[in-house]
Amino acid sequence: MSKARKALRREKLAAFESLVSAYEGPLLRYASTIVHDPDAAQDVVQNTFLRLFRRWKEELKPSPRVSSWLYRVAHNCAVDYLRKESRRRDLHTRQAEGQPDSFPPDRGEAFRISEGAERAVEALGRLSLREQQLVILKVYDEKSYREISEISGLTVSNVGYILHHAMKKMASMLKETKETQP
Amino acid sequence: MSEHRDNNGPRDAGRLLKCGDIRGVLFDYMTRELGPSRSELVREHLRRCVECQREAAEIRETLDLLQAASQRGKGAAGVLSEDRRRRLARACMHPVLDWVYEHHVLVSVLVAALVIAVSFARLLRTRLWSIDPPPPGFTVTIGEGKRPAGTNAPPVPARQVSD
Repeated sequence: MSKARKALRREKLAAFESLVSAYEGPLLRYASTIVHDPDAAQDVVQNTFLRLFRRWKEELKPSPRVSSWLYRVAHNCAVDYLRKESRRRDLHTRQAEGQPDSFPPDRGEAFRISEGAERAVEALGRLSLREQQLVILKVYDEKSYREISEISGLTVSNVGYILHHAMKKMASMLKETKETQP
Repeated sequence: MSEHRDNNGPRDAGRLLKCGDIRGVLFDYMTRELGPSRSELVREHLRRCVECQREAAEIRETLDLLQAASQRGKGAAGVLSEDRRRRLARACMHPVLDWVYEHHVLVSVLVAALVIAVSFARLLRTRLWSIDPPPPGFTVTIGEGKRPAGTNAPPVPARQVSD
């Protein structure tokens, strides 16, 4: 292999490492909040990066544009997964009937949260996917409205409007669950 | 809906502030998306309006719970599994190989079709199954001019086919 090719290969590998290291953590957290399954989140993030390597025509390096693109694609992949999963679940509903409830495995201290926070997560899951996306980006990933606008393709004012209504919805859901609890 | 004339606002003195306007930006205010002057207006309004204070408290509580929930898994290693990383490295370094891996069914069908086409072309060229016409002057005898066994039928005459 010639020196030039070796150098090119090294460069490519370094770009790959820097990209994956920079975004795998935030994307995994984002995807697992939407799909509620760590293994599925790994698939979602893998597919997101695969699409990036296949379709991204510019230089591969961490940048706000790459970040927005990755979040957008991760969201689409997560939504695709949820659609497939809901179809699969419909098919297996009858089989699952009558079987004992299964509990998710305990994944350690890092995954334990308070009861109130658990209720908030449940309420978040009852929002529309668009609302979930914006709330996760804003509250979990602490993105600004401008960044969220780039990721979601919405205008900045639209982002604020949807977030405001999503938070109001969640607040009323939490209030309801609080009142119904003994 | 109660209305307030905010005479103490730093820049927008005398501006009429409706609770609806304030409530619409409460989340923006809490997540520091408002500029300093608008934030000051909201703060001033909240100091006086009990209803908006109540709504702000609800949103604050929801936000706090969500922020607590967002800590879940933060301490855990958020990394891709080793096999997924290898797969990604291959996609990045060897896109052609990765394409073949991704479309292995299509590639298998194409390779099988190619093998069949090449074999067929080869057979056509060598004509392994075709009967060549006899060369000129070559004689083929059909039948042996014998009487069929156990019958009185006349013997079948030998026929000769010549080119």
